[in-house]
Amino acid sequence: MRTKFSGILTLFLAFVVQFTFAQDKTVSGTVTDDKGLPLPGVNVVIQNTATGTQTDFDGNYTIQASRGAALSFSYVGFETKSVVIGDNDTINVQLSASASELEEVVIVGFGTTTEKKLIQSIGTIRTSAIEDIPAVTAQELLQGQTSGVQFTQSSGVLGAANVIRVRGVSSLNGGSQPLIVIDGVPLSDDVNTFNNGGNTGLNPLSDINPQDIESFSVLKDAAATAIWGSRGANGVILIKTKSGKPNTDTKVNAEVWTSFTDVTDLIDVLDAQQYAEYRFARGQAGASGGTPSVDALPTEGPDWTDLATRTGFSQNYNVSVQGGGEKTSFFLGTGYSQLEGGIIGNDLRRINGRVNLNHKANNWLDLGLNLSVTNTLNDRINTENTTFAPLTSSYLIRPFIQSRDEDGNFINNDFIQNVEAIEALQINQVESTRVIGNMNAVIKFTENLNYKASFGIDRTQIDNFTRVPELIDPSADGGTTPGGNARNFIANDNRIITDHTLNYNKTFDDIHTVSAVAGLTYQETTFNNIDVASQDFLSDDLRNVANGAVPTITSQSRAQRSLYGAFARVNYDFKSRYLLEGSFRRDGFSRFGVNNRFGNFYSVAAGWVVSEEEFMQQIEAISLLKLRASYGTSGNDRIGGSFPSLGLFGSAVPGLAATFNYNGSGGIAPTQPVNLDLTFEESTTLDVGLELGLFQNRINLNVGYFKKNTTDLLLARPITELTGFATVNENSGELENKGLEIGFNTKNVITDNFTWSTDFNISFIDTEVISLPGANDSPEGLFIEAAGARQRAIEGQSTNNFYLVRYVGVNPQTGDAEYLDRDGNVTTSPNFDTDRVIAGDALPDFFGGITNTFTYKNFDLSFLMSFTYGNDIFLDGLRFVGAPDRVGTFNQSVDVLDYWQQPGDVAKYPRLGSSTERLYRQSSTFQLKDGSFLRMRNLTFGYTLPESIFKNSKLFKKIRVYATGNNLFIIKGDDDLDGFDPEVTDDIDPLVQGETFFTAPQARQWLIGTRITF
Amino acid sequence: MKTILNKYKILLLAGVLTFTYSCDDELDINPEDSLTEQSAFESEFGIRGVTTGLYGQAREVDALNGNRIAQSGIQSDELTFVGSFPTLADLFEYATQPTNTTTQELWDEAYEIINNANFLITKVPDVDIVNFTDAEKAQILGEAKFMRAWMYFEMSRVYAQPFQFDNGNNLCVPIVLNPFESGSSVEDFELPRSSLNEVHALIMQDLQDAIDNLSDGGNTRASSGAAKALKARLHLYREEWTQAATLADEVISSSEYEFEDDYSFFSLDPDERDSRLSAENIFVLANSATDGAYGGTGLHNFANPSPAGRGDIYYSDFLVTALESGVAAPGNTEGMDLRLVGISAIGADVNGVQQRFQNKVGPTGNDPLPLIRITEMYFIRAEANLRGGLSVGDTPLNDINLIRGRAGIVDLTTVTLDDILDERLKEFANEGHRRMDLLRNRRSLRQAGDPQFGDSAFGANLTIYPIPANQINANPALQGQQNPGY
Repeated sequence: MRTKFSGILTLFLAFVVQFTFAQDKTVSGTVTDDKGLPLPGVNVVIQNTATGTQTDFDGNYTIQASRGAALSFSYVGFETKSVVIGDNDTINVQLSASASELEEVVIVGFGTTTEKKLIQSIGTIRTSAIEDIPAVTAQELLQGQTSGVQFTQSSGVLGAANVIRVRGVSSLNGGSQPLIVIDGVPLSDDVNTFNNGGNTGLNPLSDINPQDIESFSVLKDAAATAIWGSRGANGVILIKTKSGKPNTDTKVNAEVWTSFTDVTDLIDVLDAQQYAEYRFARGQAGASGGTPSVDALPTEGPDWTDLATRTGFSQNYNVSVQGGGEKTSFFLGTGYSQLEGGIIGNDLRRINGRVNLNHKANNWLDLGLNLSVTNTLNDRINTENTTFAPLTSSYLIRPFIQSRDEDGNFINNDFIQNVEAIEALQINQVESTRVIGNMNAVIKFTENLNYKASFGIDRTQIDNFTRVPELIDPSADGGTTPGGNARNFIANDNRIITDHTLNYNKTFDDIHTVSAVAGLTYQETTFNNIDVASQDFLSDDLRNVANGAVPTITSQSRAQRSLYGAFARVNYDFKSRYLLEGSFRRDGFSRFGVNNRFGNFYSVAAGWVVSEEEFMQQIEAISLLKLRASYGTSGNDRIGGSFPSLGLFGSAVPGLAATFNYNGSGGIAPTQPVNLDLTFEESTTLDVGLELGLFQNRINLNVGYFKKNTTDLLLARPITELTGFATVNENSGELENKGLEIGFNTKNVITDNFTWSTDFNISFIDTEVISLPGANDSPEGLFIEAAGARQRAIEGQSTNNFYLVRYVGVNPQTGDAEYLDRDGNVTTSPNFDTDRVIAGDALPDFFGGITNTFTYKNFDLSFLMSFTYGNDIFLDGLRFVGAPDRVGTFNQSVDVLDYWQQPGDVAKYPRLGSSTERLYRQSSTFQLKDGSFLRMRNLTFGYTLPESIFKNSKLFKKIRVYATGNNLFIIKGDDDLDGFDPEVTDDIDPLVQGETFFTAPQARQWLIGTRITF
Repeated sequence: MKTILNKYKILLLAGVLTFTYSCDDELDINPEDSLTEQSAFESEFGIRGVTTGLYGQAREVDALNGNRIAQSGIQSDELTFVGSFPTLADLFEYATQPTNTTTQELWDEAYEIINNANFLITKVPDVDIVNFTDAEKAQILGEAKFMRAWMYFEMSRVYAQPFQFDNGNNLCVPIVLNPFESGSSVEDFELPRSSLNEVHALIMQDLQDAIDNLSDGGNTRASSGAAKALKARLHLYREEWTQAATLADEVISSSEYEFEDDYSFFSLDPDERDSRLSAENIFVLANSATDGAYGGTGLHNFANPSPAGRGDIYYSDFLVTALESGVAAPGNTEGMDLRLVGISAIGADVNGVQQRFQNKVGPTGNDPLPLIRITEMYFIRAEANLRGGLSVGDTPLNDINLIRGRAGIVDLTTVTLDDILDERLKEFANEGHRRMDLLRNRRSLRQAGDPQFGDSAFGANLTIYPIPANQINANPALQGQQNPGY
């Protein structure tokens, strides 16, 4: 503190002295680039003043300045240089191309490299691209930022999981999310919560404060992922958190924002009046669900959709401090978020803290620590597809059903639950406490060789609690025995990891550079779950499980997994011009069958920096031209559970809440067939790429082509039931992803006051199933059908074909709905099994994002749009709200009022009472829509207070105020998609993509905030 | 800098690397919530758990716990179906497809139980565990063979035409006698269908082993008496009258079982669970709330009136008429067949129409379910004596009148096969006997004038189930062996 004070004092004195004794003189000179060519438009500023000028067309400048002052020369794409004015009146400066472009550090697996020497396919997202995005979860920062990464937010429910696909789907029955590694700790991402409708679970990254993140590296090709061995095939996302720099002033960043959230895209359902009239109209037509008169039903009722949604108010606070002395540097961060979703009862509170420390103990020992602790309290709601989910129920409940009686007390008298009462009375929460940490020590043996040991931990405790009140779970016998139930599920997910690496780096004769890393890693994960539940509570005031008269679940279980790996990578480059790299990893994982417990993975890569060649030096326009190619393998270890290869005898019946116990005695039976050969899925990737920088890197192009073959695909192969099992998990299928990834960024305008830059990325990915040995046969080929029987992975086709009966429309003459049979003949009575054909694909043709950033003086404006094209989505919920003959049970969308009435009518729905009305209950292309969209993901307008304001204030260094809109609008590829958000998926299963029951749409958020640096 | 590269650091490094290498052993991790196929057979308790698991598996609604009753009932003139489940509707309307999931369930469940039984039958004789005596092993082998026999028997009733169709030379189901364990190849399990006679021979042999190995007594697990009773039933199906009558008579005279005076053994009062385990039962599936309800949609849902049940399946008009035509015996204060009181009841079907529903199985699925009752032994003895011209134990007239007496209806003076079948229909309503009683007597499943009467004729294709389509897909040996008509 004292040191700091004296530092400030010295600075202050220097300022005074300078002010007092300044002696102006004229300084002039020429600014050139590293090839000696004059640079026009270079900013020349006297440091710590607002005085400055620019170089002219020939790179010349003239400025009045005083001896002893420093001149700063800055130009986009070049490193800023400062020169202290001495006796000389002429100061010529040569600027070198900026490190921020080519020398910028890229985090790779177990090491770093530079953009220039990078020959792996890695998408890096740095602070500059994300610092102005006020995000709540780390994954939001990945949206639309880099090619090859498809990001689908599963719903607008707070804390909901996201689907991240790096280079398409490379697994059918296994997991297909990428491995996420934070500061060297691979995160555990098993689902440890109740399923609350939909199969999406919670977001494993929601425990990371996005403000702590310095960069993401998305590892895509085998050159990058082979060193992650059996876990690399789905891609790897490396996250590095912020750190302090040695010998820098302490900088404090404080950020506050508040926001309002509402729900976009709600389905317009019938109100009580419309509902009564429609049912009367049905009665007149003799159709099912008809009533004899309009007033047969109450014509007033609550607006259930309105009751289920709200405007959420959220706040977020972040403070971080970073800096460093000679030996120790640090980053401290803390955050507090209090969020309200747009759907009632959906809140999330997160408190987190982080300490990142680096200490240089002496000339051979460096120590480091990264530690974060996060507590998240998520007030959950059921997501969808249950009568307990707010949005689902608000659509389906018949509009005359009341929420409260005359006295204002809640009532619950329909089979669709009163969601307003549920959210008012029921407890459904998850509290998680997560510690992620990593300690490391680096011992420098020689200048060229060091050893690094690290120990990491990822420990999560998740406490799920639900308490269903009497109103929702009433007495079963009319009031003698009480109702109500409670459940507490506590999951402990405890991972420890230790890594040991040796690093070698040496340049010989100034032209040969060799670097190598070799290491060992061991990881152990323990899951311990305690699950208790009871029912029959005397009063809703008795909250906990102990108070239920009848215990229904008393369970505790545990499983362990361990993984062990040895790895190495060698790089060689000749004059930074010819680059070679090879990597290898051997992994053993307890999950794999004992016959195939170990796997070997490798990659080779080569690059040629053409622009370094002599003959390229003449071509001014080209500042970088690099060609790269790689080939190699990696694996996917997500083949399910802890012991998927063993023949098991268990007590719990798979898929049922029952046991094999009998008459009070413990019973066990075979629950899983043995396959001791079961192991990882293996992906072999060929990757070629070209990087081009033009005009001092004002235009950058990065084009990559890849072909990724996944073999030993995990398949639940149907086997004869004579074995006692329907399927056995085997490694037998094969699929292929190939695609083109393009990243393009330009600095369109650079002038003194105004800049405009654009980042654009787009990916074309084609996924094809090569073989599915042992799968069931169909006219289209061997296939695997997903749960729900709407999607199939088919040999020679996509992994996610929609396999449906084709809907034609309502015949204007007859008023009946028409479909096509398998042969394409029009029919009004299709067979919903045998008339199915391939009718769509849940995978897009291409997707990407575009960011534009403008600055004008102190104003900045940026917007990020993301887009997806060519995928289909399936609106399962339409089978309920868009099925007219279900009106007696479920409310309907207002679209059902558009029914056929007389010949010639072009109507959406058939004649009331048509025998084809019931067909709308079945899955067909009627519910299949174009899922293409262009979304305004984020728009931020900011203003940074001019530095002149702080000239006399030592308290603040920078103040920025901003306003942001998230998900402001969306352009849908399908005209007929009112009420649905095309960016949906209610399942993270790779076989079921782009389906929604009534997934909550993405929230629209209006946000204002300020960031202060001092 | 070289100076720091001293031997201590090298030692430290070597130590760390050695530690990491030794972690290799750590990859052998065993599950803590399941036993493996090795560890399950390493202890007596493990083996006993596997044995108990056979009954636990049998509690599955699609194994022995009720759905087979619903399915055979709606195929015949016993029960009527009005629900919305398409797979049941197809069965009721004789429109079953090879892809029907309902008719597949028994196949799946049966082979799961058979696989478990095969584990015991092949492994237990060779295990060497201290204090695990040969007598104890014999008991367990007996139980496993009994359950294996039962599941083959259950499949032989629905996937094959009855013995009477072709003297048992027609195709039945594949016979598998080995467990699917490590080292097994799936190909070895791709077996063709065996003939009905072969399957029956296996059942007979297994039941005989069970009779020899098992002790008498107890009715919630396999016993010598239960094995004899099931064997008697199979002999009846094969028209082997002497063996059927003799075995039935042995069970009747064994004193382990008791022909009850009233129907309290069907009591649905949870406080009277013991009465459902009464000695009327030779073998009863001991469901209880503690072991958990086994499956959501089963007989207990379908065949109970709304709103407690689904109200999908109720007594057919034919069955109701048969019951209502019974003349009350003197002293019967109800004035009607007592099987119309208590063990059946009027309730609302799914459409709100009042119908007569069974009241033998409650809507919770937690009630013990009788699988063989002593009453059946009287029926078997009577029918075998009558048709075989035998006189084992007692006369058919006495046996049938004993049963009619409990139902409170007047005695018969003479007894015919029709009388026996009619009495069986009423006594075993909703217990899963009617369909086979008709088929083994070469009769139509439906009455003349009923819908699908023609389709339900003896020997007609759709009176039996298809071999599940996906089972033919997954097993080349079954190709070309689909039942005719599918």
